[in-house]
Amino acid sequence: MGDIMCKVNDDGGNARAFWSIDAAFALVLAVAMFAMFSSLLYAAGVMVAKGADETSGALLSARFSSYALAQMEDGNNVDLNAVIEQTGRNYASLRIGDNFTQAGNESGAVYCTQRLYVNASGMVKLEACVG
Amino acid sequence: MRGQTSIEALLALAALLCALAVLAHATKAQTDAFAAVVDDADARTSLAREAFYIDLSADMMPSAALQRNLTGVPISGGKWLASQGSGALREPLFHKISVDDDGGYYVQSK
Repeated sequence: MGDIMCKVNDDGGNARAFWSIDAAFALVLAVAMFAMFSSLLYAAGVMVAKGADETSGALLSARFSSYALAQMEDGNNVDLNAVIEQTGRNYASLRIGDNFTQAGNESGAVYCTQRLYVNASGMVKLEACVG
Repeated sequence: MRGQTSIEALLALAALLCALAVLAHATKAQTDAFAAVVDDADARTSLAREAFYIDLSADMMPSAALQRNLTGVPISGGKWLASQGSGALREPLFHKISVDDDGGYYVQSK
């Protein structure tokens, strides 16, 4: 690299070729490699953060579905606004069979858990979502 | 050979070393930021799993003792689980938990 940076033009007798084409090309390559390295690191960081978000959201929706089931077993209605306040999220919805209720603003990623449970009328599908 | 001991050669060497130093510094900053993101994601995933275990255990065994050595710390009256390393990381809980004298976690209420 040092040789490249200090390349001397022997043909014309000019020893003042401080920046040669080779040196400039090496510099461009180094900057391009660093830019690619930065982009790769940024993309990897975004993917890792997204994975953690998805894990957190998916597990939260699973816990919400269990909470809703427990509330229904106790004969209580699920207060979705209370769920939003409790979880600090923006959106919550619950679908029990054909009955759908929601609260909050559905914006951004919404994570849902679907499960079957048995009640007096038979097997019912429950879908609990948080966003 | 003429340029090897000249001022120009020394300047070129200094420029090269400066460029390398800048690149190394920038690379270290990038890798440090990436490591912080990975650590943060790891802590968040662990916290989410612990919150899942807590709520799952509480659903199955109300008022039972939960596992010890959790990395999360109950806050806000046991309604949230916060990361020990970073208090900004927290997970909501659907069951209140508390800590006993031995460091174990207990479900306060359903």
